[in-house]
Amino acid sequence: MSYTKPPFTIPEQSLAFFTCLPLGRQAQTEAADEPTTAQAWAPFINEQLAAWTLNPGQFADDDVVPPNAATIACASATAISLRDQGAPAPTRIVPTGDGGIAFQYDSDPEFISIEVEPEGRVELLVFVNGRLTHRAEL
Amino acid sequence: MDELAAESPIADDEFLYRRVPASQNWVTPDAKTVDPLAFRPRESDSTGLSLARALYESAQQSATRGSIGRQFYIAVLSVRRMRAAGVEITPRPLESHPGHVEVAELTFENRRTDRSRELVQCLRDCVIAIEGPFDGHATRD
Repeated sequence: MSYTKPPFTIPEQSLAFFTCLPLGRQAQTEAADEPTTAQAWAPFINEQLAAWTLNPGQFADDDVVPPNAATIACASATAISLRDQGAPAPTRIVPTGDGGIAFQYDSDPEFISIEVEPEGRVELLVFVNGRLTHRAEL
Repeated sequence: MDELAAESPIADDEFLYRRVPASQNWVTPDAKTVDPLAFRPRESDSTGLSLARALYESAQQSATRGSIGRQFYIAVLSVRRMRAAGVEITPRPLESHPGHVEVAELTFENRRTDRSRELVQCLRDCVIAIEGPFDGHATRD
């Protein structure tokens, strides 16, 4: 199946949430001895998501729905869009268990998740101390 | 059904298990933290998020309910912490699984609601240990 989400623009309001994270501040200042935003994203885009593309069935397991090739392609496009707009690289990228893929920024007390759903929807969720404080479709 | 299990109330000082497939990378390599996604209801959690009472089985025994050829971590949750956070736990003993309980408020169908998203975050904070990984032993149809 061939499916790619075209590059999209993340609203300024949504990008602003990343500045509250230590990683976000780092990406904005980009000190000489710190990896650039592009370098920080590279392992996720060039290695992790690329490997998933080659083997989309690797997450099949008990009672979980693995992301399919279309969802992985959508996640790759989302990662490139985030990188190109200066968003910091996530803490991790994981399957959601119900066919989606989550980009997670785990920086207690903030927890930000960008979820690529199998239907092609991309959603931003911001939690502070476990409370959902912002939710928006990107 | 095990009548004793059905009638046995869940005490505050009990612990509950959630089986977490190792393949999903939801547990960090040092097995110290678990991703909130481990508590997102799966398709089989149609009437509530399934958990197991530690009173009735060991973590390793709980993992054996997973499929053969797969590995599973067991996230150990504190009932006291869950209740303090306002999470209700309902005993749902099964013939083959007397220690089965559910968080009825959290189902596969409502997994994407705001409340469910917060509950999933909350459950991660109720984890006091992660054990495993252990091998699954169950054969599926």
